[in-house]
Amino acid sequence: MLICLPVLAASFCPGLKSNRPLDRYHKLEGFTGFNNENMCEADIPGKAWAGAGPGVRCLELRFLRHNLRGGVMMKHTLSVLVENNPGVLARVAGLFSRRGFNIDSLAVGRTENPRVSRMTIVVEGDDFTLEQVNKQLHKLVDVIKISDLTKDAYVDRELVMIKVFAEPSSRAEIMQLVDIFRARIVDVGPKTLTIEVTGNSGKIDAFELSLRPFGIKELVRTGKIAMLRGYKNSIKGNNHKEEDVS
Amino acid sequence: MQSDVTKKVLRSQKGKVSKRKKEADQALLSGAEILIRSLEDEGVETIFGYPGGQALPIYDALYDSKINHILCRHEQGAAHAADGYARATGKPGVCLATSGPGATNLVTGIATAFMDSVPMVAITGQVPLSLLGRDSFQEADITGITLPITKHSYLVRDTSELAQTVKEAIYIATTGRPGPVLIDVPRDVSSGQAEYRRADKMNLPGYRPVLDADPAQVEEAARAIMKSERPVIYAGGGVVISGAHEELLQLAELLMAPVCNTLTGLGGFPGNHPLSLGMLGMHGTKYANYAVSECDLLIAVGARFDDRVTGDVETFAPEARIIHIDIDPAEIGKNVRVDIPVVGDVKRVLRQLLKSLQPRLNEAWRDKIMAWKKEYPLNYCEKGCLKPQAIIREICRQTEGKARITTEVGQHQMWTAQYYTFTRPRSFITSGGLGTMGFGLPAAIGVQVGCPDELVFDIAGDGSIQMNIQELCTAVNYDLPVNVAILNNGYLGMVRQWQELFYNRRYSQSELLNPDFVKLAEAYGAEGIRVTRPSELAPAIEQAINSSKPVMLDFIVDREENVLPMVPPGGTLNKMLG
Repeated sequence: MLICLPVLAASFCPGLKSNRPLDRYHKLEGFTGFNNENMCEADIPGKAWAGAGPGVRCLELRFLRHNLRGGVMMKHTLSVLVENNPGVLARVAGLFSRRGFNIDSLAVGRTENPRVSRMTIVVEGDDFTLEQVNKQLHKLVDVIKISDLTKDAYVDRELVMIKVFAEPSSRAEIMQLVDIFRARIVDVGPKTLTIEVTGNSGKIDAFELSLRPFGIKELVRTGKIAMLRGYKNSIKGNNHKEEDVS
Repeated sequence: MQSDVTKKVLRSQKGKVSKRKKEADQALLSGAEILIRSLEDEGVETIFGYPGGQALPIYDALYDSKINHILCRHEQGAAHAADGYARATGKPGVCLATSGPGATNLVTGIATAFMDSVPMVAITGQVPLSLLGRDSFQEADITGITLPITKHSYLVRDTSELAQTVKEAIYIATTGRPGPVLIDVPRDVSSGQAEYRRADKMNLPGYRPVLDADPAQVEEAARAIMKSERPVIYAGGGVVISGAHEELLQLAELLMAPVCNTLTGLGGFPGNHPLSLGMLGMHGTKYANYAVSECDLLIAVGARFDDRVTGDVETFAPEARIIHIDIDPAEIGKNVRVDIPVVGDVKRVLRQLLKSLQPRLNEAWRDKIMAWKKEYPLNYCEKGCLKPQAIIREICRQTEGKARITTEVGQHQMWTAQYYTFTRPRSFITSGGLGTMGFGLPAAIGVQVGCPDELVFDIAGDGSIQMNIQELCTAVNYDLPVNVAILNNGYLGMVRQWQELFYNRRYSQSELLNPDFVKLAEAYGAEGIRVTRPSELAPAIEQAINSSKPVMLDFIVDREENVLPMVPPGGTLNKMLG
């Protein structure tokens, strides 16, 4: 089960976030607009930015802003293991709002151990803020472990479902896009198609953008979930290369 | 009419039933009984509380318990009394209230304890689980309300979890950086039955306070200390909490480094020691603030760089490298940049640190500080009417600096911090972080309960005392001979001072019409003494000390006396008024 709070998250940081999520990509170096190539490649980090580490990280590193303190504002993906106690979500969410930290997204779900849940929190801030977030989270008795995935190679995913207006004349085109983005049609209505797509936020933003001309009736998006890549554990045993194979 | 035989049979059956019931009772206890038994087993001797509907099962279990219950006159009083008890004894303070308004009345007390890291367990009754969330009579979401002001909280959902919960709550409240923990007990949980099994181990995978510091950090701190020319120690409440006063004294004497204290740190270093600089910060001594402004190494020990200490953080200790020793990693670098963080229990860290240090003395630095102390002593104009500072000095003289002093919040609190020479830890009990008016009297009651043989003074203002004056009845009720010294100037003094200094003397809503405190004390069954002239001061205090009853001293003082020196809010420490 996923409990996601993107709306809540957005309200934490009025003025900091652009209303148009795609604005930020225009600030990327060498950005020439979305085309089929970079949309799909974005999901295969190793290929998109070969040699520069995992693509997502690279994408976010290039998108730098500065806050009032002069610190570099950066997005961090925190993976937080918590005890599955009642109220733990309120404790974490309350901590963020109380201390003035900006949550971009928050996703919670049980782990393989039913007593333990994992929260994936995307938070934007400079090093100072991140240090405080980390330390303050650690003070919560229910919090077992925090790792900042941004420091390592990781895979992240979001799931989005989009209900898009699909007149017979445009269906074929939409289905082509679905194909390109490796999305899936999960429901067909007389005038709409409901499409699910998973991927990192870049891909999802791009997909949303490409569907917008057809008219999006409804959109629901989970928070980001993320996991460290596996090579850290397997590097000793064998030298096989881990790849994002989604 | 029944025959004898029938009667016998009936009697024996009755006997059997009650015996069986007794056996069952031994195996099964009510939740309330488990709660009280667990508290007893954890060594709790005193509870401060106030009964009510949803707490009735707990109060019923308390009826047979050896735990001493102090009935306060307001739940806020109960929370502050538990706080005072904890600060004076170092043991966890326990307060108990009913659901809804009872619980919300605890809130200020819990927040006070949270800000000053006081080990406290607050137990509240709650509506039965089946009625939770239905806006039932006297229902309040107290775990939600207290989320930001508790170290942890529990809403107990099963009677069988109570014993474990109590054990964990006390453990969390008293270890690491102490703080208040709330246990919310729905009525059906406290009246339900379960087997009592004393909890033996904790199940807290996410709670691991760091006690021993990283040796490398300690070494780095030691190197910085040995390299420094002009060290100053800035000692906070953490020294008192961790019982590190002896280690602090050793450190100061080894380095011949002057020590300034925060408000809650007073008493952690003997105030009559030649190296003591008293309090620093907004109303600190000039020499403490000068020393901090000119030192090249600031050793912060169990302190948290509050804005009342630092003033403008950009200009705070501008020439100093900063070593910050604290048990809470989140305090490191929170308010000021820190050069050498050392995370660990202050007592242990100081012991580790002392091993790698050699005696040092920079005579020029020492002489400079001595010169400051001589040139800029705390002073006030002694002429004319009764001066509040003179009262504190006289109380200090007569009690030889050995009384347990509590205060409310305001001018009197600052004068107490300045003019009472605290010589031992846990002797100054005041609301430093939250600044809670109405704290002093109930806290004094808690202190007197925890230290029955000691002399307890609550130094109060005429405004603050009226915020929890009902607790005078508690003191009378339990024969607690606390002394209340009201510095009565007919104003909310600190508000008036700020209005004088920053709002062009527009005394908006700061003048007070007061009751006759002497008559009021007598109405409560306490003793009341009014003092209007300097000549009456000494005998009145003597009378209060010798009285076996609670005494309320009403000192009519100079109305417009200010607390000086003063660093204007957000100002630089070495630029003081007065």
